[in-house]
Amino acid sequence: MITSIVIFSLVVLMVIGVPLAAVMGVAAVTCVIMFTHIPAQAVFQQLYQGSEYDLLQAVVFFIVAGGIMTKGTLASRLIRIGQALVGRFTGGMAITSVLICIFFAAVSGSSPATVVAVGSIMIPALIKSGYGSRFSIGLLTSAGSLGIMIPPSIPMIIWAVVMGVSVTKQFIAGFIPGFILGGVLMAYSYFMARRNHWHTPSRSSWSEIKVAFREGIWSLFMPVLVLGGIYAGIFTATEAASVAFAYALFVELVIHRSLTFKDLIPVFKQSILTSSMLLFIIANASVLSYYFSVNQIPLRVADFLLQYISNKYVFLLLVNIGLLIMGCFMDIVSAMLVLGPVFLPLLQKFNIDPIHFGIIMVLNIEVAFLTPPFGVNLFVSSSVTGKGIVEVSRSVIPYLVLIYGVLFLITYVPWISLVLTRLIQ
Amino acid sequence: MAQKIFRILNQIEEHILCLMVLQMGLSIFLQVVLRYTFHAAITWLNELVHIEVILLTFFGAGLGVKYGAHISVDILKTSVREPFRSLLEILNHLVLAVYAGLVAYYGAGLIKLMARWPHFTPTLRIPKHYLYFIVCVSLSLICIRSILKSYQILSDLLSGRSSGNAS
Repeated sequence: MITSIVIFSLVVLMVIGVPLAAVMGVAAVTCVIMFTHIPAQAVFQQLYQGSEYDLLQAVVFFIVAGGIMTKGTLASRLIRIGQALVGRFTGGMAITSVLICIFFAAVSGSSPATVVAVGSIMIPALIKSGYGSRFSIGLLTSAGSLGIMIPPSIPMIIWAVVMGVSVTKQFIAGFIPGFILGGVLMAYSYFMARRNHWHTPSRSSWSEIKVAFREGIWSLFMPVLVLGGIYAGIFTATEAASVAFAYALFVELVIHRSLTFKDLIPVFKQSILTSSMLLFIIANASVLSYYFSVNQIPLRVADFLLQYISNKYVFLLLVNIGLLIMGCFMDIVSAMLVLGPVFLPLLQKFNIDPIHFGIIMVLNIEVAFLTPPFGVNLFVSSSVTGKGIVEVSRSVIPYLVLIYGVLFLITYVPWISLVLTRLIQ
Repeated sequence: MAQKIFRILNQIEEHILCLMVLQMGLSIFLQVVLRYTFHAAITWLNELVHIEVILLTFFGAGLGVKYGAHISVDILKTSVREPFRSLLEILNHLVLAVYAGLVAYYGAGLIKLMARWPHFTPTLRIPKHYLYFIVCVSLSLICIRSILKSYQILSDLLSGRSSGNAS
């Protein structure tokens, strides 16, 4: 009875728009006071400890690095290389866009940043060279979400913190799913370009290719440095983030000279806001999961659910449907923070690898970024293109179907996510 | 006058945070460089960054109140009209204020306890309750900013202006 009142009032708090961090915190405080004999000071201590994970430094650095690159010219230099190389084929420009999103995703860990950096240049360029406007907007809005699938990825770092899995393994698990998703998007672009005769050959001469490479070599080298460094064991994920940060600063300030110190202040301010909002939610979620673990809630939830679900495949299906619905209403990263620990016993029971489950979560976050009415990418794309949110949402629908197809493939074939992780034992 | 002082204080806070993030990133990068060039490491630097992330979390959350950056479910807020939207905003900020204030209060209790048996951080030897105290201050800042914000929305509502984004 009391439990249901507590849950009900939390849902009310959430719906009226109280910041999610506070909702989690209020939930934790109420539960600790009402249902346990732990002194309430523990809440404060837990909140402090929830912000203490060293891996969270990586979140901050990757967000700032992404901000610097979005503001600078790193993306536009990549675009020139892509154009020079693939521009001559049917649908070449659309395919280039996806490739650049993949590439940009390999240096930044955020999906909206990818839409801003690549979309703001490529959408107008695609439309100008004859591609359908709805096709172009939809393509870049959804290809931008590759940003969190291909490592480095901020949601993956958070997932690794919450579940206590190795972030290096979680990163490497994202490669093949990311490339499959990118491949599907490229195939769709090719197919659409063929069908609608959007054939715009733009043959580049050797000298043009050479110039593009010379100007973009610093951008091209970045993923090699960051990801190569992690997998060669040269530095940890946190250090890789700081290397990305220092590299982006150095390249944009000294080599490309596209930014001055004055430009950096708004970038830093925005990145601080973005990252501390995330960190604050993580800290509060950790208080809630502290209460969960004290009262063995995850085990109880598992026992309860196991009465109804006996099958791993049904469980995964229900999780996907549940996350799809939830993604329409709330910030799904916060949902992940609360649900992750709750699902842990169930994952063990059904013999699902937490890393595989993390990839499913990340794909669901991508879907949530693209579903109206609250998808972040939709808003970003709408502000980049000046088109209304309805128009953008409509343009994304075919891609959502494709992404959902990939999601099902990845959900039911764990091999895709796990094969690479077995190599780095 | 008071407003001017507030604005200057805000500016100082923001710039300190910016510099801090810059220093954090470069410090960790420096560690990597030092490791591969001199096979050396500055141990206290890692701990400093470790502490700074905590400060960033809570002081940043305070800035988030000022800029309205906190992540929330805004399905209801965007679908109702004024004045209900403003009233909801006020309510939301008050809930946040109460929560942050409450936790700061618990924190104060903990600090009193810890001051009697101080713990120290491993390398910098900073008493842990000093750090707790700073977090307490930042939580109180969240509380104060939320109250100010709801007061501002209320006065905007009463004077008939639509809620602005200044603070």
